[in-house]
Amino acid sequence: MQVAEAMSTDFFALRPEETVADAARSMVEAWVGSAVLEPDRPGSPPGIFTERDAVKAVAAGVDAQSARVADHSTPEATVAAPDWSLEEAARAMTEGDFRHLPVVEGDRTVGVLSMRDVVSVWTSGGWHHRKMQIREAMSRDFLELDRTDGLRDAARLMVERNVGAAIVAPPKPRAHPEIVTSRDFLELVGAGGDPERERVSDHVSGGMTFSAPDWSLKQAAEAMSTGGFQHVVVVDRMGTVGVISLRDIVGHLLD
Amino acid sequence: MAVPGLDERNERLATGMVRGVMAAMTMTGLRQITTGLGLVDQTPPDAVLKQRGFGVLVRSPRLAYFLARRQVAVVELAHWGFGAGGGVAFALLPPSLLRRRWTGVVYGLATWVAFEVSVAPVLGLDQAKQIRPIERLMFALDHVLYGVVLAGDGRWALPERGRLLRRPWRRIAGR
Repeated sequence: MQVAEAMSTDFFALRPEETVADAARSMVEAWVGSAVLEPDRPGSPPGIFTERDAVKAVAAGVDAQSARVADHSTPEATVAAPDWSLEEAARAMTEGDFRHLPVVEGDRTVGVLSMRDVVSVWTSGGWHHRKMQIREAMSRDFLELDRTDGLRDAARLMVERNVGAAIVAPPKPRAHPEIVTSRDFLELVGAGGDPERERVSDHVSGGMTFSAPDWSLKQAAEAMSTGGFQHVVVVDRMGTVGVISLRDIVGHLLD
Repeated sequence: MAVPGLDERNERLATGMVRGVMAAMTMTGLRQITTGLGLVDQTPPDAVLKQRGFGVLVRSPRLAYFLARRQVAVVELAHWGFGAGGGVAFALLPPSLLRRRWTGVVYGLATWVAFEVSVAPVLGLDQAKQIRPIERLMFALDHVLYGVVLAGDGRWALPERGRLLRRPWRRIAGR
């Protein structure tokens, strides 16, 4: 399958002079995880602003109300061509450690391919693979936060550990843990929140779910596709044992 | 043995339910062996949860959390529940079938066939597509065991009149 068949042509574009806060707000409203910034010079690749850039901005203490989005995005993103194979594009994403790949034809951005698009192709049967369990692909080395941790510190830890989500300890011993993701930081920035004063517990994800390590990987991927999750928390009888993300799934499909 | 408060038909159904649970428990025991020996990779109730439970994953994180942590118990309880249902259905079979010696074996095989031709394909389980012949044979065998344990001699499921007809001396003796 080619990239053109899997990419989203209905992508989101930002002007470089928009503020980080405005960019985040419009991305949250449009329910997208990345936005393309038109290149400064004709012929050069477009820039890209993603949820992860929002986490970095929070970690760095950027004033989102005044900072230009162009200064906090990837200026010349790695791009794909529409006729690339899906596997080639997925490999470029995992090797470059990013979740979105603008698709460029000539000088024009014609779409964006995301990890979610790749996973959707797999779950709909467009990418044949042996049956796999979640334990084969999940990350066991996950980040755990306390509910009272400040969001700035949480963002710093997430950037340091290069993770898109962190487990948040449950409010009560028998309750389930929660999760805070880069999406929650985008929402925080968009809403003009104060990461210095606000706590992790104020911004845990509304959308999340759980799985056991021996459940089917495809099932988790389908849940992520249909439920709009980027992470599934993996638990067993003893408690949390890992986290599985779209990035983990795509990385494992390519192994 | 008469159960107070239950008429004859309901008593048969209740007996079917209990025998169904016991037969499913016996299947569980056999499956411990077949799974332990590597003859079976994933049992059907296990497969339903692990392969097709994504609806739960999406709709109810709280339930997904519970299932993921307590899956062994949940899967077994669900299986015993199916066993109970199968026992009740067995008790409703016509007396002419219940009197036959092979009814238990045939009933067990029928429950297996029902899974193979309806549940597995409808849910898109691997069991419907990629399954080793030995695994299929083991599933057939453990369902036969279910049917045999459930049925016993089959007489418990016969309506009172049928039981008396089979043992006319009881009627003569007024019992």
